[in-house]
Amino acid sequence: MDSLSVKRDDESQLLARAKAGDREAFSVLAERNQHQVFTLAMRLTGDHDLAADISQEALLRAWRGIGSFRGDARFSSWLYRITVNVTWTSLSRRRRTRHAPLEVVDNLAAPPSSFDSPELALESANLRGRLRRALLGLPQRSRVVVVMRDIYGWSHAQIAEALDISVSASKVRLHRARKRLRTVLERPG
Amino acid sequence: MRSTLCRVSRPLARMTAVDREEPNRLVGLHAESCLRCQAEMAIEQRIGRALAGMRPDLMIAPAGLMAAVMGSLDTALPPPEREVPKVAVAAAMVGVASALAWTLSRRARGRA
Repeated sequence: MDSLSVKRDDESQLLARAKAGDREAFSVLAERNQHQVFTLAMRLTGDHDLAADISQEALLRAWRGIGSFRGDARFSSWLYRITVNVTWTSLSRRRRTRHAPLEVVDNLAAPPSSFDSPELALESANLRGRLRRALLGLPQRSRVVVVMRDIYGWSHAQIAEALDISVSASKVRLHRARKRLRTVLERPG
Repeated sequence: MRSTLCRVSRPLARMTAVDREEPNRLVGLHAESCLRCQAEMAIEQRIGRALAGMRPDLMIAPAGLMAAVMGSLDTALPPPEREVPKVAVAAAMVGVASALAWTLSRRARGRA
């Protein structure tokens, strides 16, 4: 049995225990996923403190709702959906339009790229750095769609469901956002 | 003629690259021989790949996050919905069945 299936078996046991009210089991699951949840919240908000609050709320909601987790998706995907919902509610409530300082997101620990050539890897890392900054310049409603679609690979249907918008609205937001990203990337410097 | 076609085709080519879909037949045919449209699609594909490549970049959650979550579980929140044990369901069914049987037998005795 490979390590991935061992981990999945372990996860399903932990889930069963957490569903039965075992806090220790839930704590292990939450601890394993906390950085992913926080990273997603940071990408969606660009604000460290807000992302921390959102992560906490998302994990608490996960605990409250774990009885309804059917297990047909991965636990991490389910957590992502909760995080997006919490973020969206929080952003709508605050009606924020301003964005966090860019250096917060620049602190990302980028893993080595899988490109063969060092030049390509460097170019790709450079592009990703510029994209991170450009993403923070997008309006939040567009940024959420780019993050979920292009970084996390969600379908427009999933995004539409999570944000309570239509599939066409999701597509329109993506196209507008990508156009803006391109404009920013094409600027010199 | 060619430049008119290209003006129409280029945004469509760009859109299909953003949506990661195959271009429709006409756009595809045009793009095959149009370097501008090919370049347009290539730029969007490159941006798409760079965005997808950002996914594994992890940010470390604040040190106190887990403590805050677990603290809140202990104080403020109800436990998750527990599954009703199968034994309890079976016991309840047996109880209802016995009560029904007892009522029916009393009625039968009353009539007799």
